[in-house]
Amino acid sequence: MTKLIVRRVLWTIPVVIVVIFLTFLLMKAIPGGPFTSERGVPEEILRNMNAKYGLDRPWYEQFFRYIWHAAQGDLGVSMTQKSRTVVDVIGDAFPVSIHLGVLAFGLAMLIGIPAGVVAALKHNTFWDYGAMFYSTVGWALPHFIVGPVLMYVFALKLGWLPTSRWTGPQSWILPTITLGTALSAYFARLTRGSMLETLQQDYVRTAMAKGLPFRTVVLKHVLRNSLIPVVTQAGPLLGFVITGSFITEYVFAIPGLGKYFVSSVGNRDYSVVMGLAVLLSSIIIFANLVVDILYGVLDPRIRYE
Amino acid sequence: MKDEPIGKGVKKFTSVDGETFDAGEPLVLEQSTLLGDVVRRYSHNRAAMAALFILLFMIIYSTVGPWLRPWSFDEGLYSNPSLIPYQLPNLAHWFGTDQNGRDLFVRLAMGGRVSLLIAFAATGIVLVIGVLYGSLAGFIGGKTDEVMMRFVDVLYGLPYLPFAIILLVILGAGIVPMLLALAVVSWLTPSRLVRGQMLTLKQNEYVEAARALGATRGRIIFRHLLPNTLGIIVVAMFLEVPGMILGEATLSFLGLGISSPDASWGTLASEGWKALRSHPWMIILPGIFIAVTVLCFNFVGDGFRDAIDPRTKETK
Repeated sequence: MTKLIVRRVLWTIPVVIVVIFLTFLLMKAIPGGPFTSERGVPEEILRNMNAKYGLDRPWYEQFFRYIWHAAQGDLGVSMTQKSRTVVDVIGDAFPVSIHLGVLAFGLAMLIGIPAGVVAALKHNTFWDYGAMFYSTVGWALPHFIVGPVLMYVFALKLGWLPTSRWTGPQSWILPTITLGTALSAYFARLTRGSMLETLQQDYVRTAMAKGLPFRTVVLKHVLRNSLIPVVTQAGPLLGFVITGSFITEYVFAIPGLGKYFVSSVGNRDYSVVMGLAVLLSSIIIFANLVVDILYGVLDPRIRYE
Repeated sequence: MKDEPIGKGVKKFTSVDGETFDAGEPLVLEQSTLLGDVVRRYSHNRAAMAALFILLFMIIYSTVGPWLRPWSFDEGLYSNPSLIPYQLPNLAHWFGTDQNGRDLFVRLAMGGRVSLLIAFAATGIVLVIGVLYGSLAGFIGGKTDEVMMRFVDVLYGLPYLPFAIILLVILGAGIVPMLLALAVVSWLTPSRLVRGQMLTLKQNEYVEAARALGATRGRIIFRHLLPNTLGIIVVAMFLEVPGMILGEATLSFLGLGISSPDASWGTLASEGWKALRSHPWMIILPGIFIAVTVLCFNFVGDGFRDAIDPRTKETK
């Protein structure tokens, strides 16, 4: 098990480097530089600016320099907001995005897992169909429709909640629902399918035959085993949450990573875009690592493979 | 051969006792084809059939919609002063008009053309790349497979939206850049799928037989292995399309990709979003179109999967 974990952890290093390399190449391909403007910049100033940010060096030198600095936690200076480093930008935006993501994940689990459990236990009844209808429709609704509709009804028409920003619990509600709806739909479907499969297992029948209370069987035998696939899906789901949070942050004007990313791409702020892309990718790579290890812990059968 | 009646031509036969019997009507064995089975099973799935009809309706609306009304999709108040912006749905403008007085019935149909076209074309590109990549990796196996799949693993972890955004900035706005951006970030799933299939299928004896007869790799892949993965590829296609529709709409909503006066459902949603405060129906319409289409594609995809391989239905 330890060997497996060590190998898995070491494997993430080349992956991150390849990701940085790909991002780096993409950034080099963006037409126009960060210092080009409509008014035109004098030749010497442009040369000095490029020299300051190391943009006059050959690309491979820039790349290795970036890796070297990144390994030390230095992702460079923002090219449009001169007084801030990329780490500053991340420091401002990341907590907000994490906050939103955690709230949405929490809401999704709170709704999705119980809905899936009820649907599986009451298989082929009204409850099951209701939960499945919710999960099918919830998954198909795009964030950029859910967000504006919620905003219109609860903020603009009823005036119960603020329309935008990230200032207090009241302003968290609508973005959380926007990001959490599709996620809860997914959790419901996943939990239901996995529960139905587990309910067929022999050990469940044995537990029932022993005369254990239904509650105990469901909570201890079925639910625990059913949640393994839910955990393993967390990695790919994180990518989905990141996509969703881009839109949610855009719609509700939340100062998180997504909003910064979109505006930095527009400003051609290379260093911020690179930093954010690398950060987001690393989060997913790290999440997949954790999921793989957790998988081994939750399901001992995996370790022997 | 397959529809030949058993015992054709035999009119009478003799039993051991020497009695003769009339042979009766010849027995015809009806062999069911794979396609026939699929169609029969699919047509019994009511949700999937309904979804298929709604999708057909969407496609027909997108195709003929722009010709049903006297306005063109980019005809606004600057070219035609008689148009009034922000009209509610009425007898002349069935879905109302937008901020420039352009007819939304026509624009939604044009948007459907663009959105569906991009989704289908991107899916096609992705499938071609995925099938080639996956079948090569799966068929060659060994070190090559390992390297090719490691590369897929690396990319698989990446969040697709940031990279699609960067790609669109590099390639510029428009339909072709959008296609490329969507294709580059989503060929991974089909590759994995096809490779997995290849790994199982190439164990079959008929592959060995073909190789023994001197068939080339290409022939084995294209004639023997790929046709057997066709079902899975078709299902993957239907399940890939909704992701493409959402991807295009998301990028257009953020203001990248298709931009006004051209329209996609995402662009229309984005325009609706800007007018949300005063004219909320402008975002509702494209929203409904996108959600319904995505929903229907999911139903059709699930329906086909169950029809092609009924075993998948057991856990449902």
